[in-house]
Amino acid sequence: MRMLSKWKFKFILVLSFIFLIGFAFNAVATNNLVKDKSPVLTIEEVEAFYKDYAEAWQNQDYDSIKRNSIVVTGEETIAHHKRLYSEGVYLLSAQVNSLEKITVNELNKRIEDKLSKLSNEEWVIEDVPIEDVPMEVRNADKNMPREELVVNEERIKAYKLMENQIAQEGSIYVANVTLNFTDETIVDDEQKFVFHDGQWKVYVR
Amino acid sequence: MKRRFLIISTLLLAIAFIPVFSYASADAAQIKAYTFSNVRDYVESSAFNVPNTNPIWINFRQWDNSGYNYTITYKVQSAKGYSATVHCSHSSSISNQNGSAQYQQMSGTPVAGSKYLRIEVTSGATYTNGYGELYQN
Repeated sequence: MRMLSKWKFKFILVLSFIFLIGFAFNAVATNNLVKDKSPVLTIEEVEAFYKDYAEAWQNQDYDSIKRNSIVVTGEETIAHHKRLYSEGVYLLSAQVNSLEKITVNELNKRIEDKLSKLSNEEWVIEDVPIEDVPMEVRNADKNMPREELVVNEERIKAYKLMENQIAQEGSIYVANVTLNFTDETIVDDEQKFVFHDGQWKVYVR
Repeated sequence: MKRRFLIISTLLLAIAFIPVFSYASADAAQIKAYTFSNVRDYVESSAFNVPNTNPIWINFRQWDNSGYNYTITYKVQSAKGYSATVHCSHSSSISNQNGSAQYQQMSGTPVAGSKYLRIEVTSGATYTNGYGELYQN
């Protein structure tokens, strides 16, 4: 009788461990699912995206371009596409070389690394000798009457809203894409995709 | 007598114009003064007059709130908006809230008339601030 209760105790102990491990795995998996709100994006979907984008540009369907991208500069991106088209420049086709999901922090780090290289290589500021600077410029008073240039509040709100959403997602899809334009071929290693309003959109910031 | 008068008056007239010429070559006239804050995409000024086609110089200070890298491009253009014709521009990645102001010649050929100043953050995603003036001889 004593032996039986010992075995019973061991059995309950092992069963408890199995349940413990099972629940722990379940909790981790559920937690990951809650965190990862956006669906999975595949290379095929990105290729289809660029096919539609090229067609829309060729057909001057600017509403479609606007719908499929999050460019917080709004109307300006359409003006940009229109101007390029009038100059004979538009997208013919695109080839997606790779697609990866990275954290927003990783993306910011990549952008910063790229910019620091750019600022070191391309922007060299040469100082103008002080004797070449007119006296009234040297004496420019920071309190002189100036036009105060103010930003468009709506645009800032849109930026913040988008950045907040991306920060909540925690990660973003980044594609390396070869873009064949009418005048040249460009490899862009930082085409960003976010899930917004129920669909994947290219994000330009 | 008439000839002597003519020579003297021509000389006097020439002497009288010396300060005008030297003033024109030495002094830069301010054509625009601006200030901006918390800009991470772009801002545009109201219209101002560019008197002639001489080079435009920009005297500026710029900085950002978070110490990230960025580039600001100053454009003098024909109208507001991204697709307007840019007559001259200057780009800079420096941060000089403190220290000396930058005095640089803008590249491109100015066109006289009513123009707009567009200040655009052309690289980096950070909130920038600055103030400065545009000058032309």
